[in-house]
Amino acid sequence: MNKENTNVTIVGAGPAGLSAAITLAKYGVHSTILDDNSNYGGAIYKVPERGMERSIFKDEKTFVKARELFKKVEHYSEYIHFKFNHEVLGNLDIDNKIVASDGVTLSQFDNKRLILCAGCYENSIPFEGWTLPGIMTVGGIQLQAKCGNVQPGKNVALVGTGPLLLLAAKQLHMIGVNVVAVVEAGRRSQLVNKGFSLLKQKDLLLEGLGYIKYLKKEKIPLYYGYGVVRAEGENELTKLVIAPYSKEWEPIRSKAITLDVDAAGIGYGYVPRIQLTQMLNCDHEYDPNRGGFIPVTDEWQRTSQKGIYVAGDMGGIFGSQMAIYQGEIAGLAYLEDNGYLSVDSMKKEVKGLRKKMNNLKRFQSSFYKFSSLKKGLTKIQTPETIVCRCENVKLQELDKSIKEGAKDMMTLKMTTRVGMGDCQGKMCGNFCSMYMSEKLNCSREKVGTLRPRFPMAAVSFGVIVKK
Amino acid sequence: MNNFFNKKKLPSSSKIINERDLDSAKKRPNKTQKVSLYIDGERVEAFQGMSVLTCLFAHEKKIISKGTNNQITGAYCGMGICFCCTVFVDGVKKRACKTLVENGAEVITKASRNDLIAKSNINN
Repeated sequence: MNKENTNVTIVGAGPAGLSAAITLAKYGVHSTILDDNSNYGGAIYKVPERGMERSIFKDEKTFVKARELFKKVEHYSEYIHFKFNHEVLGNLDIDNKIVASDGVTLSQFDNKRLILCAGCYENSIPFEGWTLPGIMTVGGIQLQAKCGNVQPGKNVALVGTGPLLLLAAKQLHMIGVNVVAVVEAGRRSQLVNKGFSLLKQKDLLLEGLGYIKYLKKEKIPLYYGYGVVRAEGENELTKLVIAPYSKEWEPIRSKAITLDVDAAGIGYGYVPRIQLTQMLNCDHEYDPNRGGFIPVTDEWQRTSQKGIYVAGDMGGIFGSQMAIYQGEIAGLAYLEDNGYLSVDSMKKEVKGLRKKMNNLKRFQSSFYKFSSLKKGLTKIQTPETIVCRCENVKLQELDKSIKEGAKDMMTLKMTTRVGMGDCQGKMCGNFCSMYMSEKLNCSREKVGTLRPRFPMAAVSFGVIVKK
Repeated sequence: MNNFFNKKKLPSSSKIINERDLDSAKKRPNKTQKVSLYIDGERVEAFQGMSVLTCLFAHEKKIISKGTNNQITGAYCGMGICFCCTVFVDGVKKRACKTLVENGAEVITKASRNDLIAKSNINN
């Protein structure tokens, strides 16, 4: 195994990780950034695969922002050391170092100087037929358009909730995909109520309105208060059935509409990627508005474990701009804790930042009522619906296990094999705990989460044996 | 260790080599350059810098992998989390969405997750 030097270890080269590294570099502190991609930017600032210059989206706001950040990274490149294609596998126990693999060997990284910016992944809601090829997450389908410049299908529907639907629809349409429908589960009336607080972040509001305007201009139908019911197809997706959702997001099946599509993006919110903080024994809390279970942090992004900081969506879903701010704060907190910076000068540095963060928080909180997940989403499945994609576990097996007395996620895992596959429960875990708390009529805290185990990602035996 | 490799501290003779190395490392791959690879024995062309998944989509292949119970799967998350696009690339299991295309690479789709060894089917 390769031993690492005394750099600060940052997990994730997205906006939060890069911004933390830049902050450290300003004070001459070296950092090592681990990321399983082959370039920096994370999911949101992912650079087009065939180069920025060739992309038709190069003038879009995300890329303009990304370039701004990348310029700073290049400026401080002497201090920022990237380890690309490195998958973090976690640590064997609390006192051990973090192990990452590049597919060939394992390397160790300090677990006492850590800034974790692992981000989030999309929340999956199973429904009948969701395992058919052609159905992807909204983010996945958008990446194909944005970075791959490839059409993921000829006729595409985007279903779910949140602003990414609108952005993805625009980008897919721009590369020539026929966007059949954009289906938003939230109701328009709930959005209008919040008009005042939305005005506080004019540029973000205008960005959203710009997408809606684009969809209107191109005559792409936008449904509010509708959601997915089931998907149909022999070997690949051919039909997607949507229906109006009630206030609690229960589908009204009698009013269902069938869409002829060959690809669909489904996205009902995001889940913070907390497996690493769980393994490092940080305290967690449940916040439905920020994506579920999140590590407890103080206002300086410190977790309950000394020397471990969290920034970005991993500590609660707030988006890329907040991730940049939080990354900076985590970096400053590290500098203060290690004597590079006095408390007073740290506080001085963040004065303006705090105000921007509060405005952003207020803006996002106005969407909570509109797009927070309602319990109706646990009622669109049939007993035959596959819940766990990896292990092919059906909903009726969950029911059976709950009936037999399973009261928490770990028991559910042991009895049904949910979350034992390659993804380690990242795809089904959130839904299972949502479903269980609904069935048992108890809180999400009581049901708990799946406990991640080493190694967190699939790794071949050859890598472990070779030393 | 880190200081030892610092450019400034290296003797002059190795400095030249070092900078040349740095140059070639910094040189980004020519994005318009085409590579050719094999998907299930069929020779296809792709642009350098593309991921294998994008290449599969470009050739309208949606059924990409097989699950533990031999159920067919397509790409799902598209960003390296779900492992639903696991394929064999040159005999090694990799996520198509995280792997970049390489000239002459051999991609085998629809291999079951239970398979440990990929059967090559390039017809030369």
